Amino acid sequence: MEPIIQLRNLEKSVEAGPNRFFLLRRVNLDIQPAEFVTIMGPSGAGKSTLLSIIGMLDGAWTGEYYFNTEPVHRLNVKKRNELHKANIGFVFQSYHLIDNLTVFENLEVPLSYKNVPHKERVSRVCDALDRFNIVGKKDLFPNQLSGGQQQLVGVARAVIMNPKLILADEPTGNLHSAQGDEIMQLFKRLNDAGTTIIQVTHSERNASYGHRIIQLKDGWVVGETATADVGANAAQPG
Amino acid sequence: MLTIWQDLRYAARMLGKYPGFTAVAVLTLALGIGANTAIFTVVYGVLLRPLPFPEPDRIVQLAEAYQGQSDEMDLTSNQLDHLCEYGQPFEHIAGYTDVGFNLATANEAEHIRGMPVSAEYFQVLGVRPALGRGFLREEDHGDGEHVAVLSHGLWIRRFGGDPGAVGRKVLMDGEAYTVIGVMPQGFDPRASSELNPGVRAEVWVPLALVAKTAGSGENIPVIARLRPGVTPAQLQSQMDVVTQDFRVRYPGDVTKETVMSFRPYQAMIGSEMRPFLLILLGAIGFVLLIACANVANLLLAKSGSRGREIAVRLALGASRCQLVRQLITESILMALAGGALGLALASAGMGSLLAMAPSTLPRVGDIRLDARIFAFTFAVSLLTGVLFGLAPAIYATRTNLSETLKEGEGRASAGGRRSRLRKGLVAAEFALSLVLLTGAGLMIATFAKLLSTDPGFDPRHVLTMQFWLTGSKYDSTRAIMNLYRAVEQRIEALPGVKNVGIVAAGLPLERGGRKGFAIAGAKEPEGINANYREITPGYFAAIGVPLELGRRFTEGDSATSHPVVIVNESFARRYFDGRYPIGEHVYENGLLSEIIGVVGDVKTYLDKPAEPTVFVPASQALYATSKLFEGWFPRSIVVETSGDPLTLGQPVREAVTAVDPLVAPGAIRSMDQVLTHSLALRSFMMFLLSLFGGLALFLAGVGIYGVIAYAVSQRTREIGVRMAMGAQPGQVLTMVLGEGLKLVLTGLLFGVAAALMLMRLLEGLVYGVGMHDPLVFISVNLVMLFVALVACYVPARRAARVDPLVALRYE
Ligand SMILES: Nc1ncnc2c1ncn2[C@@H]1O[C@H](COP(=O)(O)OP(=O)(O)O)[C@@H](O)[C@H]1O
Ligand SMILES: [Mg+2]
Repeated sequence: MEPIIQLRNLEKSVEAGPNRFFLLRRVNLDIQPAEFVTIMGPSGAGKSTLLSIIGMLDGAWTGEYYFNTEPVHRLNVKKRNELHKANIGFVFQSYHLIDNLTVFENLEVPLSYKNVPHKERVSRVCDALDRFNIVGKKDLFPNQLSGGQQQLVGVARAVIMNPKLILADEPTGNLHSAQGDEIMQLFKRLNDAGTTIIQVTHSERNASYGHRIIQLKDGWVVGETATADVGANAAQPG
Repeated sequence: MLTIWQDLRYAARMLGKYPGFTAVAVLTLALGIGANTAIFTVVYGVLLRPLPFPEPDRIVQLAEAYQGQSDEMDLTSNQLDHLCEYGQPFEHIAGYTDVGFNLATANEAEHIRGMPVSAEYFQVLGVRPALGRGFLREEDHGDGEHVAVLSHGLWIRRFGGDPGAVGRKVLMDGEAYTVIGVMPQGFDPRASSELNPGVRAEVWVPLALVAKTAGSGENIPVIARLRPGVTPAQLQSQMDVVTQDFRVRYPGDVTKETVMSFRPYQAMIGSEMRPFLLILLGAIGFVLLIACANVANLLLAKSGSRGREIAVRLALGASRCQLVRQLITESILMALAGGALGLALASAGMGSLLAMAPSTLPRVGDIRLDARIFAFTFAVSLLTGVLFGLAPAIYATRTNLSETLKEGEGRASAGGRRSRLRKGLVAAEFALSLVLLTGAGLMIATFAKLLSTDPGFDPRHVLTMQFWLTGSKYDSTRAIMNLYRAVEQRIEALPGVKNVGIVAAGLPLERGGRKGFAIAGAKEPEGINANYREITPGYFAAIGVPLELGRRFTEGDSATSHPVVIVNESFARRYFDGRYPIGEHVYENGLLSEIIGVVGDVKTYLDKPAEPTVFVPASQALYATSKLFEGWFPRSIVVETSGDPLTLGQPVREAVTAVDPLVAPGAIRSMDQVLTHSLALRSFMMFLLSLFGGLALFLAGVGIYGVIAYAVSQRTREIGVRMAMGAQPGQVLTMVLGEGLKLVLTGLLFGVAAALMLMRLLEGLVYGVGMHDPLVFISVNLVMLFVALVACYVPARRAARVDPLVALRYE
């Protein structure tokens, strides 16, 4: 089976005065469908940058990027946006729910940009509310929810379009560990159902939910580990 | 005191810290306050400024009115005589009227306006002559003495300011008057004549000279100076006694329905202009409100960014009241700066404003910027400062301490209320603008309608020159005809002249003479009141009025041939209703005159149907009638030219002088100018309402731009999220435009409702379009929508260009 994501010599740099400052350097990466990958690394390593590129929010880079064999590096902005819209869901560290929309309306947002008819929208939102156990919260505003609940909505919003790929940038960074576990279990279930997931996290515990860890440092991929080992290590009484 | 000083210093520092913000706010306020100051200066000068006479509130005007109606009628000279006998409430009482005089020297003549006044006229106003004396009771008796009081200007012109002028003679209308006094410089009784608005009197003569003549004796405004302490109630009860008395004495004039009443003299002056001036003041008040809303919006936006400062101050123990005071001080300081700049704008614009004003605007000399206007501007500025500053100050200080001090959080609730207020303000701006623009739209539609209204003649290529013959050697119809012929011959000989005619008793589009006629052989020979004009044979050709039936006057229609008249279509339609009018007869001056022709209708007022008119050949006119009408309406030479009529002004003037230098000339105008002049009030109102509407729309546009741009800047993150969720730039653009549009439509909805109610105020001005004309309403709404879309498009495009990467980076 073809990888869902193939990165070849991907580089991103910014001008820094007279110099060129590399945020990502010669990144080569294959991610298979239904994989659950964790990206780890110190702050400033380029994790978010990499996620934005994979998520097609950022188009300013060099190298090759194939999404489902589609050469993203050759697509114009419009095509890239369409690809992104059709396949990718985002989960953010600070949830990024829209303040003045209710939970229900927040979930509706991605659907509204895909011309989903009203009836289907409602049924899909209701479905998601059900699946994530937040039916009771549907008329509340984000500031009336706890952080964990907000992130639950954030995840629900990311999956409401049934994306092939979910990108989560430190999704539990603002949550207590119990709340974090809940989100991770959610990811696990989604992954088991076939969704590819790439997450950034600082927590080994979260990483243990995935299959593979990619280590990033100063824009370089510096290592890869299968989490079976990590998980085993973590499980071993020290 | 110390704290106010501190507040002020701190406020000044804060304003200096945000120079861009301060500049925009001060400029906006300067526009609003400046325009208000300018209009108020006019309103104050025309309607409110105390008249420049001692104790002006003791001067009243007496009048006869139908019970319960405000239309006042002037009195007759007999009534005035009897009013003088009811001494108690009046210290002085006087009547006045208005006439023209020809003032002749050996080799030229000048037409001036004069006021025949009764003896105590100057005492009523409380102004003594600067030189000599006023009138004595004896001089205003019987047929009246030939004595005159001159205006300062006339004295300088005729006597070079010689104090020895008193006792000398002036020749007016061919009669010698002894100068008995000269009024002080600037003396102006303010009440200009209804027929010659804007023209100042330059000479005063005893009323008795004209009181017994036909016409003048019937229309005498009476003013009185009340004794000190006389209350309106006392005066009214006295007037009731007078009413009773007059009903017995003048059963014909003072009937059961009429009562004697009085009004402050000041209220009588400019009363015709009052509704229009008040409309303008109201309209410009709207503009100021819009300016306030804009500045309030700026402040609300800024208070968002000052939330932390305010929270810290509150945490340090400032009371909310103190903070509100501090913030209000800032806004008042800003308003005062705007007021000062506005005052400068107003004084700079005053000249152009007055230049545009119709000549019928009275008391123009009383329109000036002075301490009272400064006080007004100061008060308006203070009020404005509080008006736009209060709500933002209250909102700014209503922060939730713990939330604001916690970074980032808590923007939801207070910010939400604030943004609702901001949106409400902008919607209100659009509502107010819509009302103004609808008014402007109705005026523009009216104007277009009037300009496309056929006046009944072709005003292009027609020159007119007024002249007066009163008191000259032309004291018979034959003498006048000889002059007419000589003048017409000379003008005909000028190059570029196609046709020449002369008309007496009124040009088209201007007030003219009316007179009684009777139709010969009518079943009920009721008296008809119709327009009356004396013309020479060339008149219709010169002014371009078509002959519909019969023939025009010719040289053959002379003093000795049988009397003939021409009537206009309205006359024929109204009084001959289907019958063939040619060959019928009307009684005119006791003569039976044959109708020999029917001409097309010519309008006296563009917005009214033409009035029935009878044209009499100048050669057959009765001299007395001719002279009577000349007291009010000048005669006019009418010249049709092949090129620009105004280039012939000087040659025509010289042609008249060449025939007789003692003919007093008046205005030389093209008929296009006469037409424009007849539209002066409407064009003034149209121009100002359009200007105010435009200003309002501009401010409202800036307002919605500000609100949407601010909202976009506040929502960068949200827009980034939406884009990460799949929103395309076009969809973001539509979303932002849609939000702007929602506000605007709300405003327009309220605006339309308000406009439907308020347009009634323009009733007297609007012509040819309905008050609720759908075309005007739709066009105004479309224009406003367009402006709103343009204003929203800029921030909307910025929103569409938000880079989700940048927007979402703040983690
Ligand atoms: N657009 C940009 N311009 C300049 N520097 C950037 C830009 N985006 C990110 N960076 C820098 O690149 C580095 C990597 O950033 P990021 O990918 O956010 O790191 P991480 O998510 O791993 O903490 C950081 O040093 C950051 O400051
Ligand atoms: Mg990061």
